[in-house]
Amino acid sequence: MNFHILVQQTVNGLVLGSVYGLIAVGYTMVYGIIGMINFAHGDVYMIAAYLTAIFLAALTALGIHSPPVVMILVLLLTMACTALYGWSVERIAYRPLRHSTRLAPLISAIGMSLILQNYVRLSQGARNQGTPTFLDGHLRLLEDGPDHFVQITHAQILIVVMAVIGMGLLWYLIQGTAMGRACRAVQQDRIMAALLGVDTDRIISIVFILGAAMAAVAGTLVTFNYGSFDFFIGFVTGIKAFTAAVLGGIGSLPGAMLGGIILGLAESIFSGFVNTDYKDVFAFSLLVVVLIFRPSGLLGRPEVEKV
Amino acid sequence: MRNSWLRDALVTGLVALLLFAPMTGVALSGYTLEGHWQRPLWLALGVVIGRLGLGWLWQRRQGAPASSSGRGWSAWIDAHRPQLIGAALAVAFVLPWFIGKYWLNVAILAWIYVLLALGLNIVVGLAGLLDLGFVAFYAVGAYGYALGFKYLDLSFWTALPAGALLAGCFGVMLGFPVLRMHGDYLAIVTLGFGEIIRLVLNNWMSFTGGPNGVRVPFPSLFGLEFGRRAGPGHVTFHEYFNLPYSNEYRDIFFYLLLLVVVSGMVFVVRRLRRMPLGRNWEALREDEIACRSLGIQPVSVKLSAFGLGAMTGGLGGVFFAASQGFVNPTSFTFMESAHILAMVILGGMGSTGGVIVAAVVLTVLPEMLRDFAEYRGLLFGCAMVAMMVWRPRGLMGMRRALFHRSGVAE
Amino acid sequence: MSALLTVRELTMRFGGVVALSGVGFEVAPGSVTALIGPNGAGKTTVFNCVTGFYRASGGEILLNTPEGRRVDLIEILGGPFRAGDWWSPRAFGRRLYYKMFGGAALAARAGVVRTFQNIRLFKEMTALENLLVAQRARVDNAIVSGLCATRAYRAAEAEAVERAWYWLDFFRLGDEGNRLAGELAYGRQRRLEIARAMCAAPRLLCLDEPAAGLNPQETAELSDWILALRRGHGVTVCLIEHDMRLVMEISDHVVVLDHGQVIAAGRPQAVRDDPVVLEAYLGAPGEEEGW
Repeated sequence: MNFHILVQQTVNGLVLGSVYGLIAVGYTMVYGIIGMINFAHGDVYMIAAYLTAIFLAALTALGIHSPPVVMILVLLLTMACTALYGWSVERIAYRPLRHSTRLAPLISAIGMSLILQNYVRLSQGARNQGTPTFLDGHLRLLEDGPDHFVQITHAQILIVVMAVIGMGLLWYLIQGTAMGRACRAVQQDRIMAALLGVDTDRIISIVFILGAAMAAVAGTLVTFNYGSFDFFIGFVTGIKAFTAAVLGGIGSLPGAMLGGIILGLAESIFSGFVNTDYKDVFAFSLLVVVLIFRPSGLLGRPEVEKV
Repeated sequence: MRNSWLRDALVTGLVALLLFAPMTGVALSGYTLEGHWQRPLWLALGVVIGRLGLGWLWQRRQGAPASSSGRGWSAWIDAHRPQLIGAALAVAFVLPWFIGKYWLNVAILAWIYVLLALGLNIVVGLAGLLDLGFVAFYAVGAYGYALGFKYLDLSFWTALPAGALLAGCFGVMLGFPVLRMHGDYLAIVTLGFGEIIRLVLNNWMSFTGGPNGVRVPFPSLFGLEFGRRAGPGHVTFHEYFNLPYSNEYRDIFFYLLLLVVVSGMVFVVRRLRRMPLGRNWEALREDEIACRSLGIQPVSVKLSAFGLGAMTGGLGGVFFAASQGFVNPTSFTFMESAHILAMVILGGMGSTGGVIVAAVVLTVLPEMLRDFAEYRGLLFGCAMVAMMVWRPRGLMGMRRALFHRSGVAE
Repeated sequence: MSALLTVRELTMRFGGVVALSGVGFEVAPGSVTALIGPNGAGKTTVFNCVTGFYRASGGEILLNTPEGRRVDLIEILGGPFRAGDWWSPRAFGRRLYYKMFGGAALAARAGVVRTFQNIRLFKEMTALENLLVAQRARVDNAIVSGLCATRAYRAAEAEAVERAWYWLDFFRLGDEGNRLAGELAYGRQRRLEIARAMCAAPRLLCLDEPAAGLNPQETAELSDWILALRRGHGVTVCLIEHDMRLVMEISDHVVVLDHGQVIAAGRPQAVRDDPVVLEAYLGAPGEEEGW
């Protein structure tokens, strides 16, 4: 086993895992509060990637070139706009179905996912898109020879740092503010919370907005780092992020982050040492195995069936 | 009153403008942008008008009692059901002699989709299990035939039941662990499973040929081949009957064979719905806990639905492979699953007739309107959301079996 | 004659919360037994354990069928493997079978059939179809015979329809057979649920608050029906009920639960005069008016 590859893949895994974690947060919060899988969440992430490229190009066209300013502006604009998408998705496709049949929200979510994919394909074209390298520069660690080193790009560091900051802020919002308390109350018992005067529709909207904003952070950072995307990236990334949410225990915020990092590491080490072609197969198999043997995940609580 | 929905519509339009402006107002072209400033404006205008129209419709519906015109129409269908079915069947059987080669192939594809949609309808519409990886069983059937021919020299007639059984086994094997879990997880696990199958088919170069695919022979009729020249020891169809060679015979034969299988499937599904098994599926869809309280074992009932659906998918796969003469993994993406699911949903989950109509229309329409094909995904998505919001039970709704008391005239 | 249902030392823990501790009672064959107690006393938890929806943390629930078979209502839910299972292939096989196919369905097949506090009907199916689903054990479930519509299949089906009409008529639902269950009025839905349970051939019929939401007249009819079921159809009834008049009228044996324990048991009159019971009820305001 090659030590350098191991360290390199661990670093890559951590970065990938942070991205999964940021997206998984959206799945886990929505599932926690209304008990549905928001299939369109992966596509919200995809939209964020496109918006990042668009805002980046727009700011460049306006003559703003200072990297920190551009970065912060792009991030904020993308978050705001993606959050609006998240809100609209909930408003159009899920809210009217609150009291519908069990399958209805799921099917509606798949419809929404198709809509978002095709909307982007039709307006931006089906081809692969890219952004200029924006943050170049990297660190080399453990260097002993021309091919023996571990490389960490600045963008990778940025992803991990931003993921930590984002998660920290979200944790504060949920645990430390009145709004967060209302969110947790709605998650515990929606009807009771409504009876106590919590505007549940508003809280659910907020959860979708927060989830979309976190996905936007992931989308922006990934675009800065890899610079290449198409209208279909939300699909595979979405399933993997959901796997991360389940792995960590659906409904649990720290679980989503933990699950993301474990999945990222596992996938990255698998593709480094076993086989790159089958890394997606590996991730999906992991999802199946976790659901069969530990559906409540690592940090989740087992569900007690209500009779 | 009027004012408030005018304001609503304007706010909606503003939000729509904010949503559409960055995404449709500019398009990425390399690292720069090209402007399409009029697009978001038109879209937002459309949203405002749509919102106003909906508000108007909603108000009108509240004012007037539900119109009975729709009901009269469906009552007429109900009254003339046997005649209608007979006429449709007769038309379907004589159709291949009147449409050209191109449309014959479209019709074959349409019937394959009908078969698939009927299979998925058992799983989603009747048993209420959202299977997003249905295409996996379709792929198992198609590749079962293709690889069976390549390695075992399997003929179409052996592959037909074998492919169906293989897909059924896959369904049961996957279903057994998965069906015990919470309903929504099923959707995502089947989704993952569908992708696993496709990725394996794509990456296992030595066995499946990867993206290059596998060649598939055309079925023969009692040993008569449909090619221009027969293989060694075989006779061709046109030689045997002393006809001039034309590959139209081949397509007509295939069409009729497929039609017979689809009719058989329709018969089976209609019977199943009135049998104890079909009732158990529906009961399970309605309330799993109540089912358990009555001694119905959810796992085995779900497995039967899953397995039967998978078998139908496998059957469709064998037909698909034979009709194309070639299979490769690009035919088995998630889009294909979504496509079949859209047919089931638009047909009104559970309603056999509706699902058939939806499958035919959704296959033929893109061929008739090229523009439609471009917008197909978007329209399917919109239709799925709209159906769930306004008509979650389907356009036609499901007809229930009525029971009479024996001896009491009714 | 031995008891139909024996519950011994039943304990149920949810995480750290002890919902039941050492509950024990017996249900005599052909009797009507009522489980009463203040809200949160653990009545529904007992029901869920007996009918196989919860796996009890400890204790024993045994069903003695009239044929002399003894069913362990906890084992059939498929518990975790125990040390002994690894020695004896037979025990291992049973455990594995119950783990895969066990659950509440087996309790129902053994003859413990229940209704639910918040009615659970198959709403999109007709009332009659609801009753047909319940006759799982009596119809011909084979796919082939159904597809070919063999004579045996058609006979079984006709008989099932006949029986369904019988029970619909019994509960005065004869005119509603072909209507969707979800469209029926509330009181009728309650009756339909009991009719459906009767179609599942119960030995022990467990009714969870059957009179909840019914008006006094409907409640009176219900008590007649329950007595008729016991008399005419050999069913043993176990019910949870808050309406004390109904409980006093129909039950032979009353078990009072409070805080997850049995605080009194006996004939209705004896229980009513028990000071411990009175205290438990007066401690929970809003519950005493039925007395």
